[in-house]
Amino acid sequence: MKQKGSILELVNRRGFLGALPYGLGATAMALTNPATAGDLTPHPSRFPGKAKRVVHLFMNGGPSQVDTFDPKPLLDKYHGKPVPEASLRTERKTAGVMRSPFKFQKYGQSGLEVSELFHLTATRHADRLCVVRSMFAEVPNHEPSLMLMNTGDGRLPRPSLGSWLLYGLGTEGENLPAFVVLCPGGLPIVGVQNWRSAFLPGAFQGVHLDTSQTDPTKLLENLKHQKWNSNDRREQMNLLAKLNLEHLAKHPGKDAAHAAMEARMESFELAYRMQAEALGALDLSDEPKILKDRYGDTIHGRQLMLTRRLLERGVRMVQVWSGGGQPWDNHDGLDGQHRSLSRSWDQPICAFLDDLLQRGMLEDTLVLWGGEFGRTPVAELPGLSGRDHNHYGFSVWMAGGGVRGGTTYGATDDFGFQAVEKPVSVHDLHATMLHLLGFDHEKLTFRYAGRDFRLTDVHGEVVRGLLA
Amino acid sequence: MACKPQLCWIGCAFWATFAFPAKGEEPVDFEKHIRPLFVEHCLACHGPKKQQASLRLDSRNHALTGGESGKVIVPGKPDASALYQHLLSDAEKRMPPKNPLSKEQITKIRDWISQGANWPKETVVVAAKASDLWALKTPVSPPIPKGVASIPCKDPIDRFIAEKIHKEGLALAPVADPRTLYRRASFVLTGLPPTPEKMEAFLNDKRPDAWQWALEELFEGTAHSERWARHWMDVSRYSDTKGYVFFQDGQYPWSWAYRDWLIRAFREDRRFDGFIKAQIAADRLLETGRGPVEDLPALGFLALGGRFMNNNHDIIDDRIDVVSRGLLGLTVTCARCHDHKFDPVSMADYYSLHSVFANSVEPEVPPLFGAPPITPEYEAFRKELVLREEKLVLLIREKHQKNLSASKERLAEHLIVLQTLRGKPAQDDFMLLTDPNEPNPTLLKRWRVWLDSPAQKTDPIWGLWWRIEGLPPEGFAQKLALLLQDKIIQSPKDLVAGIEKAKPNTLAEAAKAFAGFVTKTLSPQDRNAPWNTPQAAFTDLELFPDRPSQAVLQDLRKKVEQWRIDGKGAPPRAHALVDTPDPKPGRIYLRGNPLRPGPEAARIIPPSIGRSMPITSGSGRLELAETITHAQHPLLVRVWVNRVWMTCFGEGLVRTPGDFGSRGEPPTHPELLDHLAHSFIEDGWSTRRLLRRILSSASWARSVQIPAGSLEKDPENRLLSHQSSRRLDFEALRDSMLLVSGRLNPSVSGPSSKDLNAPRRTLYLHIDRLQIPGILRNFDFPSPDATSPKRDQTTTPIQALWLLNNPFGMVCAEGLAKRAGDSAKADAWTNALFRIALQRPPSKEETTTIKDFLTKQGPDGPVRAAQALLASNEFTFVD
Repeated sequence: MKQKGSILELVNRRGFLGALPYGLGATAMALTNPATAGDLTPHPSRFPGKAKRVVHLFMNGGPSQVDTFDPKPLLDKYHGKPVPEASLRTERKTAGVMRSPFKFQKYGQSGLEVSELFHLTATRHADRLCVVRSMFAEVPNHEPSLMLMNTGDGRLPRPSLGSWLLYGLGTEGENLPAFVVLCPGGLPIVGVQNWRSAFLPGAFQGVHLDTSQTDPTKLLENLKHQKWNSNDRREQMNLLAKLNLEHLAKHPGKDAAHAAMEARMESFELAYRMQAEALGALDLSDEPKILKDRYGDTIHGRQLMLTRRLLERGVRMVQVWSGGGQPWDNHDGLDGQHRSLSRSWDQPICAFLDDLLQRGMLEDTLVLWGGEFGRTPVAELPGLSGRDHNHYGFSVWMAGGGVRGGTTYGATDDFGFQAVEKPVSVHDLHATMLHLLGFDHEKLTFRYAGRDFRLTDVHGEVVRGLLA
Repeated sequence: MACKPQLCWIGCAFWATFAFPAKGEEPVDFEKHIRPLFVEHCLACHGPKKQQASLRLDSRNHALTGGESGKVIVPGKPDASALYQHLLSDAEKRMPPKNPLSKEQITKIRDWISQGANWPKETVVVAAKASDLWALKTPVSPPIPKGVASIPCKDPIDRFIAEKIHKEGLALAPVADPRTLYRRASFVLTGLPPTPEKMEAFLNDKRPDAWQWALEELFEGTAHSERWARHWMDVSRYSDTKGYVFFQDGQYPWSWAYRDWLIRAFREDRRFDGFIKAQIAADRLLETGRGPVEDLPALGFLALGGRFMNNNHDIIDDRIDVVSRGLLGLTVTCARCHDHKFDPVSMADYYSLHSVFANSVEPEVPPLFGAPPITPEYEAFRKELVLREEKLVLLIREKHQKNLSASKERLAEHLIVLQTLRGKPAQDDFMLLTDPNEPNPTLLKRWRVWLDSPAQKTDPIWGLWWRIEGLPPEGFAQKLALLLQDKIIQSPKDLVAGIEKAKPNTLAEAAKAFAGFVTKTLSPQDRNAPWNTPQAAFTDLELFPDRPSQAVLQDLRKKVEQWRIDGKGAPPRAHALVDTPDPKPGRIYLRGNPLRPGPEAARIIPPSIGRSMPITSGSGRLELAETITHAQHPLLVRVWVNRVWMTCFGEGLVRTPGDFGSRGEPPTHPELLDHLAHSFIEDGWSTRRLLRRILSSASWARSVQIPAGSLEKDPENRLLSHQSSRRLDFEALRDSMLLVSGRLNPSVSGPSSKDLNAPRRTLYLHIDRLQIPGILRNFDFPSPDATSPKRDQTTTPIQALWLLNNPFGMVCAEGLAKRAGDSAKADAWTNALFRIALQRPPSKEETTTIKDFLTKQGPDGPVRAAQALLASNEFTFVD
């Protein structure tokens, strides 16, 4: 590291220090991490990744595959009757088959079959969607399934996918947290565990914004001082820099502590600028009206518009939740609830994909849509108007970021109950996502407690059929 | 689980030398692809025990040297490598002789050789033997080096350091000035800066032993015990909650009692062996008259871990981990699914420890840890508790009676359900749920087992039913008629006649007729009969398997438990463990899977954790406590002494304080470590004496000025030629802000506070495993998911934003500005400001800088200046 003379020079070296997770002070982090000794800098990927960032549209609660992306005509025929072969064991009591209240049709050149619930998205983007119809999870309970989907382990505290991405990729931007979680109206089940960094450093955890708030200053903590504006503070920042430079001059030896002092000085300059820039990112008021209309002035419309703005500013992963609790968990009244939920999502997703496409961002943005599991093709007792949890088989889709669009992969049985053809585990999905980001999932490891941990633990295979 | 060492990410230097795979070849990873093949197929004959044809394949050196017939591996040339050729050979020469490798496996070996036969130097194929691992050897007291004439030494510590410095030809930093040293000592011992008054008093103390007096004063205050309790809370993964446990209450109501116990232990400088023993087996020590009841909260060390959605095996694993990694620096939990790959810990060892904790459970009612007060308030509390308990007991008893009578009165219905369950395997219910009024599933199970028993199959009454329920539905009536005429079983005539008379066409009708006769005859005397099942045979969930009744039960239970927790006059209790009344040996779970029990695990404390002992009583926790605190145990004291050293120097003598195994770093000064460990025990296991020694040594007192040549020869300062500046952790930073702003509430101990802005020391913050306040994690507060050997140190703008904009920081800045006096008298104010915040007077330039700043700024100037000081590097770094 070369000697610097002025605060300006110091600040200008930012690009040079490019690191984690705010483009900041890799030196400070690397040299002081006990477990890794220098291993917190971004990892050279094994091969160039197609995707550089991830958006996870999390339909928490578990959307029904047979009502969205996995049509099963037999459900009509058997409506009200038991599944001919022995029904799989469900979490709660279930009865006979329940037909889908929604119409399916073929879309695009690929003829991808999607239900009316996602009519707009399918109309414009069917040929970009890569639908995995043979997903399966481990148990039919929300908690372990959410943790499995997010962290690769159903019970034990493990870092989330987003934390692993920051660990592996570092960040492009500097003025925003690099892993952002948008969830309106409270937290989902198991809360912040869904985006925790566990044994990875705390800076790698997701930063949650309650997107039911529309005032940008309320979205992110500590972005704004109660009464002082940014101009008020310039002098103060200069004073701080001056004090720090004098202190640094008393510590001329270039050891780890010196680097940590420099990094910390820099962090204040960044924080100072972040106040304005992050607020700018979170403030949607400068978006053109025509675009706002396309997304729709709804929570999910605003969430996805915000997502795009975050991605543009170098955020690595945005996880967008349906809402607090488990909105898609429609044990009864599925017809009405799935309809209104998908209505709140279909238009924003369609506009979001369009927007990314127009800006040339879709090709290196990996979009994942799905829940923690699916729902049973049989009706749940006693209401007979909804479906129970189903971990045996469910659908997710991906788009952009190097996935093969306009395809379906794998299949469930004739009733959509269980993945039977080319089943894809959550670990396989993670391995494939990491692959698209340029990582061998077996190589992206972190030494902790005497072991090298990875997102996929000892499991997972890249599903080649999903790659473009 | 992924336990492979990290070979390919060492860094760019490594990449430069990596032989890239040819086209069409997958890159072969030695660790992943090759090592397992060698271990499984080769080492039995070509390993450390046997070396057929003088060939060993357990280390790089041996393998590349080859055997009797010369080299067997020629890197880059598989065809010239005998090892590869033997895999391909015909039956006679083929290796391995019995079970040849698969095509894919052979291809891997070929690709590995052609890619350069990369085999990281340090990687040994088999686990280290206990005798090879330095940390498992009993420390012997090493001779104290004579020292080096040119280096003044104050303590034997300094001679160990000087010897190496001298050998490496390094220069030494001078001793730091008294002001720096006092500030440093204050942070090490108390986590707080000295007040300006204390600083001045120390600087003016001309007594020859002023330093000793200063240290004693720092030890004496409560701040020292609070700071060191917090250090220990990193080890013990302290949290006030259980993590996610479904609908249950996730709070530990008396977790703070453990924290209070720690504070007291450090205040009393409790002997370290006793300190550890209490945390593992306070209940057993109390039972055997060797420990006081006041020690029961110490068991929070084990009990306050995460609860992992109540998965018992994960809970046990966590307890094994906190003991083995937290106290002994061993990564024992690697052996949950397979033998440890690097350290001498086998699965058998793991499951011996597993059984210790499997036989240790939480008592249903947490114990008091002192006599309850004799007050009217407590008496009222106790009366109410009894009332609530009685209601609960009554509910359970009634429900049980109701189940039993239902099975008698609605016998026909039960018999039909039983028939449908016949021959079906037991269901692995993840949630055993029924509807209200349905026959009780657990009772049905007992019925089924009872009906299927040989005695009942030949019973004149039940044997008849057993046959009836086996009849197929087609032509039921006829087949029943035939069966009733059959005289194999001497069924009572009136029973047979009764059924015949009913002319049942279906099983349901038959059941009705049968039940009509039998119900009257069910004897209350028959102890083994299902209708007399004792209440103890049911768990709560089994007794109340439907949601509505479960809710009623939970409600009454909650009323009891809640009252015990926060009823008026409720005394605090300990989160303790007790041994199960009838401890059972455990089994090894193959691949860590509880559904695949293997051989029985020995009832011992396994030697691989440093020292062995048979378990003779109870769960074995007492033996565990005694074994690891034995003076000859190689690890406990080394690990603790290393932590103490780390707190004083920023780095331990072993820089991986949670891993003393073969994958951890070896000590930089092994003799010094052993010397300290030895003298620690000789000094009566006193942490305070150890701290006193270290803080009085010349090595600790060195300045942070880096001597010439040191960065080049020893960039990480492993030889300690100087001290290194260190950043405050979050607690010390926040506490210091409170202190210098005059806001710190000095009250000690008591329950946790959920208010992030409360002016108490940070260790009293409520730590919720599920919701750790973001700012704590952003300041590298350790995740309480598992024991934390060492803090991360990251630098982010989120931290800076907290200091700049959070109201907490503002209130502190206001307090500090006010404490410094009247800012109109700028010189005096600046002087006071620096003395309070940084424990030194400002330089002339700094005074000018501040004065200029105040002149330019409006009325908010002083607060802004104070805030800048709180945010400054000098405030947050300790020299």
